[in-house]
Amino acid sequence: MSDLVLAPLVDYGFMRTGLLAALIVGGCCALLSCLLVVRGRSLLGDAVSHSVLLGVVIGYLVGGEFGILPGAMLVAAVSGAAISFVARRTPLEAETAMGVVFTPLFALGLAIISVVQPRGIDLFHVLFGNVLGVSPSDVWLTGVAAGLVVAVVLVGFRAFELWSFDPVLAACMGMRTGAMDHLFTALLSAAIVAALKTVGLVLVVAMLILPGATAALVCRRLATMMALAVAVGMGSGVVGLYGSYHLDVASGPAIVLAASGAFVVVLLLAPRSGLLTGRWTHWRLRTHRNGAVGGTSPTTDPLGTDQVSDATIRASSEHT
Amino acid sequence: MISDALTPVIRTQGLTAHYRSLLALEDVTFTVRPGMRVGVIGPNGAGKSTMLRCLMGLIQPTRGEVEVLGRTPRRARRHVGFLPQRQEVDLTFPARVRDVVGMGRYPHRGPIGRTRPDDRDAVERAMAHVAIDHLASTPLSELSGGQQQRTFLARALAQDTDLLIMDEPYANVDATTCAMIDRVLISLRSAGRTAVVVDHQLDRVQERYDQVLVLNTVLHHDGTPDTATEASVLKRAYAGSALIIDGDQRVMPA
Repeated sequence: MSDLVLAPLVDYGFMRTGLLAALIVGGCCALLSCLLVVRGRSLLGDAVSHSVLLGVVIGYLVGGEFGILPGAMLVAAVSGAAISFVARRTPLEAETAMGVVFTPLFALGLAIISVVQPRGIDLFHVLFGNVLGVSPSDVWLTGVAAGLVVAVVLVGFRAFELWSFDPVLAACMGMRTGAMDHLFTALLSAAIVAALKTVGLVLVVAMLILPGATAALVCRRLATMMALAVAVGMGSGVVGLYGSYHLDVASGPAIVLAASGAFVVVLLLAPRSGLLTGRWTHWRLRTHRNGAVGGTSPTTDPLGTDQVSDATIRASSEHT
Repeated sequence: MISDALTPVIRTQGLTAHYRSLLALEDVTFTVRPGMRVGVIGPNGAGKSTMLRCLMGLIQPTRGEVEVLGRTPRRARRHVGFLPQRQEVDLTFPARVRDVVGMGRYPHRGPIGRTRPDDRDAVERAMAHVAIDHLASTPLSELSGGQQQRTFLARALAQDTDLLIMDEPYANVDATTCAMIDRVLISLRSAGRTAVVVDHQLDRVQERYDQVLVLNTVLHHDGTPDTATEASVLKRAYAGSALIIDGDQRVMPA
């Protein structure tokens, strides 16, 4: 076991930096995924991540490595503002507005790369990530971007909770909800930049949905949902990284597949609402009930029995 | 207390406002004194929600003036409690009753402030006021419609404001909750606080309110519930929509 887990870390420096990066990215994206999921805006992550390509390219051309984060945040903020402008001023739905804005920005980013062919940007790695090629200086960029996201979300937790749940009331209470929208887009872009080297622009979308979606299946408070999502995000970072190392799979897909695995497991086995556990409880209560009463067989009165066991399940779940 | 008995809680003068590009309110002038329970009635699309939005500073009037608690609506809105229509809220959001009621303390706490003992007291008091304290740890999504409405009412009470604005609190709730809202309105009045309530139950305005505004883009009536529910007033305001008027001149929407 220790050969599988510890040996790679001891032997290879890139595994140590890769693991650190995967943990940071998994946790930071998971935090934002909760807000995206509870707001029903999961595809905003998709839109922002595609626009970020343009920011990465422009930032890199202007300021090298250090220009990437400001460039990405700037273009993300512009795309966020453009999305809300299109959604407000045209009859188009929000989803369409996102599509109208992010596809040209993505295309422009690709176009610039094809013309300039900057040395420091490997398109395949930017799109799909290469966690094992993360250098210690990349970890710094990842750490700063992710630290920014986590600090803002945790410090402003109450504000984000109210803004997600009831934006109208939030506005009534004097919150500048438009500014919150922009702040959130900026945080998204920072998280995406943090994830650039590990999972890449395309697959980061998965890390901005799956952990929050997994936690939403079982959690009944935003705070606990965030805690579970962060655990899922970090866990899939670790599992995916080792999977990538041992099975020789690209790291980005491995991490995303690990997160999808977590989602499926929770979907099937969640304590109260899981597809399998729910069936199991249903079946157990029904057989228990039939045995205890010793009479009503499903063949003579299937409808009645079902109704009774449904009611029992509901009653029992209220106590848990 | 910000308001005393002399300053009006709400004062509008020639208020005209558009919702999207439609004229929703035209030349609406009225005054509300402290401690009044004000009912706002009128058919669907009469501009009731637009008026509430003007009072809360969410919509800028096209013409005219609005003053809330002696200042502009935008400056006053930290001091105005709000109960939104239930269907406008995402009821599957992961939050317990206590979390939702706690959101009412946001203006007191600020975006990054910690919860203080008086925030906690206000939340507990508000939950007890509408008899949901035993549900404090229940998730919002597992409550009945009436319990959800009482949770939002408790959140508005936890805001601890001199003016409370409620958008159709009586819609689709059980009798217990209706009675609870009635009692809350009475206790607000005895505390000298003001409530503005959009209501569709015309047969109940007599017992619920001290002042009734009958609205259909223009203000058709501003007065006591008795005069507001006179057949002639309602016929004008509800022109086109059918009314059933019984022998006592009491009116119900058809």
